[in-house]
Amino acid sequence: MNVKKRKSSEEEEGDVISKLPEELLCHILSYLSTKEAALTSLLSKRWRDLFTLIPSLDFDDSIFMPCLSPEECPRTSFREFVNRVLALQSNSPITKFSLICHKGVDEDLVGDWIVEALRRGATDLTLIVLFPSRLYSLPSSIIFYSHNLIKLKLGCGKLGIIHHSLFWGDDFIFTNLKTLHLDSIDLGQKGGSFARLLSKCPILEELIVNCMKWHRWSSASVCSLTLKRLTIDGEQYLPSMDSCIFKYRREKLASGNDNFIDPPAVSSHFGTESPRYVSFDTPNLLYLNYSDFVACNYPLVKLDSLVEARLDVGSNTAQRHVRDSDEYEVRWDATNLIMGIQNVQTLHLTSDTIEVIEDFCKTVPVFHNLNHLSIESDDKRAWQALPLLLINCPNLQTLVFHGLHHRVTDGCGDACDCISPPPPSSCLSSCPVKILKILDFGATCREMTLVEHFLKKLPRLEQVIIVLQFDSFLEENCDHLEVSKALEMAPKASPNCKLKVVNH
Amino acid sequence: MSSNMIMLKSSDGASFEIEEAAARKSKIIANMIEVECVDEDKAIPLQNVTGNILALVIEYCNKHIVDDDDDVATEEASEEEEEAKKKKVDDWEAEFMNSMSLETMFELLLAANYLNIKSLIDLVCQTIANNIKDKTPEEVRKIFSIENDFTPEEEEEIRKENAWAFG
Repeated sequence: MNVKKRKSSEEEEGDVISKLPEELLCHILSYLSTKEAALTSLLSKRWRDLFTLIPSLDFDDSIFMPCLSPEECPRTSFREFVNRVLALQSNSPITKFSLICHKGVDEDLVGDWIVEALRRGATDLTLIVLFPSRLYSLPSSIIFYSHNLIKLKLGCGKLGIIHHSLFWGDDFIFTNLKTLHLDSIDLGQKGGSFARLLSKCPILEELIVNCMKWHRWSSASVCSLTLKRLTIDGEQYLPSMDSCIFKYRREKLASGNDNFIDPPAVSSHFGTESPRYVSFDTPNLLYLNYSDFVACNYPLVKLDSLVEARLDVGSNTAQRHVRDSDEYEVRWDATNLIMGIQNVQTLHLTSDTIEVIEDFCKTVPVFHNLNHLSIESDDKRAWQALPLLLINCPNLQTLVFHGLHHRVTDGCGDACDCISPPPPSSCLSSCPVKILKILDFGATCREMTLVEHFLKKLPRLEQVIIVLQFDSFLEENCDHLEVSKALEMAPKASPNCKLKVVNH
Repeated sequence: MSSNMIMLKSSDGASFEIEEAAARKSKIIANMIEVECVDEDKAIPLQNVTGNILALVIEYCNKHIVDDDDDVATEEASEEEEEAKKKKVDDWEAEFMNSMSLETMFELLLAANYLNIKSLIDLVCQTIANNIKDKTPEEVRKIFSIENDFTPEEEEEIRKENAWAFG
């Protein structure tokens, strides 16, 4: 942000900032990472040790992650810095402690720092260890101080997966924990330890779990009466990604080639499945973000209070193969999942999910409360489920497409214009949508005719917003004036609707 | 919304009329209202705040009281609408902070601190922090007219102590 030049008369006043009370200076510094705050020690004597008075500490060693392997970059100076800051603070309270560090920092030392922070009252703890080791043990002090914690984030940045038995025991309870974020933490061979962990967080409000290897469990259940926000991302972890990255960076460095090269494809033998049974027993949940392969079944889905959902539920190659084969027999059933979210007001679906709804849901509920539907599309996934979805949203106000593509199949319904000759009626004719938004619009002939189809059919449109794709190669053909001119001329079911075409 | 009006008086004698709901953004004034030591006809004297700064504080409070009211009724608003609304407030705040000199910014911070308006303290501190972020100590000194009172030896010492941060 630009700060206006001070007037010359003010210059006599000189250094005003240093005259602020210490608490306000510390409050200013608390908006910086500990590294950035430490730079102010050089400003003047007044500032020398100010940064050590901030009760929230944020050490991130990855910002200096050089284009070298961890073995080649000694981390002594980082160790010294953290030790020094903690020592200078002596025993003053810590509210928040965030540590992101690499191999090269002693595991025991990390444990010591965490104990120190927790002992001094930290209620908000983040620990990301970018160690490729699969046997890292999380500091047991987390359990010892489990009563204190309000917010806890643990992970290893998808570089590996942490094996540990920290949460397997019984002798802890996160009395005050409201937010829990586990990233690439292995919760064991069976779902039991996950259920137990949740049962030990009596007031948990937000849970984020990525990459916890839960596909090995026969059943997984998220059960909590207090949970308000839930994010589950079954994304696979990338084995030995770490070494690949380093090898890559080194090669890049050696070749002097600055061009971005995609990292080599890493084959993963797991993470292509989900648990057989997945349940959501979370009656007070407001927000669900669920991303995984479709499970065999969803025995219990209790999401009565849900306001917003984002579903990215895909099918894996085996599931698609079975679907496409002659001896088609449904072995996966996501009906309960889609029925369970029927109270939502806002719904985001990925292209995979639209296909799963078609393939693995016996029915689609009427979404009486739904007023905002957003759909991610790509040309590999079909839209067969779209007509039924739109018919079952009687109160839809806003419809958003992220990209306007789909795989054309002989089952394409009347939401798109693929069938020739076009059927006399279309699901769009009864669709109450007022605002249609199309993002990432490429302005190809295919996309243009599809928008024209929407304009021709949607009777209550008030506003159409088209955001053009950002692509320098398209610039010449993709002029927003041309697009809007073409669409202005197109016949419209709702003649007064406003059209807006904007560049990305 | 109650439209009770309250009078505030700055240190240099200027009087300002403000809605009670907006004035309650200040914990200090809210407390005064709670314990009913606010006389309907009398202005609340604020000895530590000058008129031009008080005008800014009131501008901020008025802007945010509307937003808080909106929040109550947004159960149905989608994330996108929320985002749009938040962006509008953010834009207003950015413009508001951008319109003043550093000098005024510090006075505003002291006033917000005195009146105990947490969100305004946060906004000003964040803005000042953004002016420190990604800059060398030399640049920061220049922006805030901070005089370097270290000897080159002392400076070298500090660089050594916090070597990692200066990496």
